[in-house]
Amino acid sequence: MYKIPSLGGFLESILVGGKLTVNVSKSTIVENIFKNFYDLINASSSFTNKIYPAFPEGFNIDDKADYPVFILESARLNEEQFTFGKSYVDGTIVFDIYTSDAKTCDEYTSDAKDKIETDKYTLATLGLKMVFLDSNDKEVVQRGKINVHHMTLRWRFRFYYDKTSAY
Amino acid sequence: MISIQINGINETTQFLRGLSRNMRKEISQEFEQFMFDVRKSAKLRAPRDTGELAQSIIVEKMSPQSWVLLVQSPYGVYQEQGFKPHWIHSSQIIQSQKLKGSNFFFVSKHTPFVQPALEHNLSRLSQRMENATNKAIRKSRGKK
Repeated sequence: MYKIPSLGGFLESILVGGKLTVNVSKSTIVENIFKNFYDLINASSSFTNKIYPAFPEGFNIDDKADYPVFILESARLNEEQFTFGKSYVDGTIVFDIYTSDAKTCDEYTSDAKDKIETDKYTLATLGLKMVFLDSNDKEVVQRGKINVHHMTLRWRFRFYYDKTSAY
Repeated sequence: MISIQINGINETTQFLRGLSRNMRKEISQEFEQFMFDVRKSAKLRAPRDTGELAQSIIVEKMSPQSWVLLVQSPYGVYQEQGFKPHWIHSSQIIQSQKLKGSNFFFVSKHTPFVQPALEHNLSRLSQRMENATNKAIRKSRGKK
């Protein structure tokens, strides 16, 4: 893990796996929320460099050798009014785990869940509050000779920002 | 003399006014998420050779309260509902990797993918609606 010695304790806490997570702002909300969740989960050795925004090119869904694969979708956002001058965005972000056996699917689920749970403070310092696991849902699909174990993890979060005034 | 004082009329009115709006919004969001989950399950179950069928499964918003799951590939309906076993020529399938080199091949098996996906997700729909309803009630009470 890369550390900058002079930054001290606070900033070190947001250096995750050698990558600096980024502050979320109104103008960069979608990409930065994705980046923060990506960096946090990717920092866990189980997931390093195996997370994609969609099924990777050349991925064969029926080939056992191509598993596991992890897909982090872009955040979905719903805007709400908070006060006269402030609004907030209630959003969800979905992480899909595809494996070819049940045990590793559960292990990856625990890892991802734990990673976000223990890094809630980091997310809060970056502007994402009230992060919690909204649901996890598992399905098993038989594809030819293999069983695909698919777990969907959905986190909710809230992001407050100053509204742009329009007259 | 009996004196009865009722407090909280304003709060109740405010709650009832907000309830309808919040309920519509929360239920609508949950249904949208439900449709995306059905699409994901259907894509996972869809038979794949070129990947065209899975790619063609989309969700379209028809109105604020209505979504439709569309399978745009012309052979989607036959995979879902079945067909009579028959021979086809390789020229009918341009990009197939599995069937490269053959002239004719026999197709006999269909694999439903929308119905099983729907069944899987419907089992959790009531719980999802309950969560959405509770959230709408909490919001209407002023608890975010």
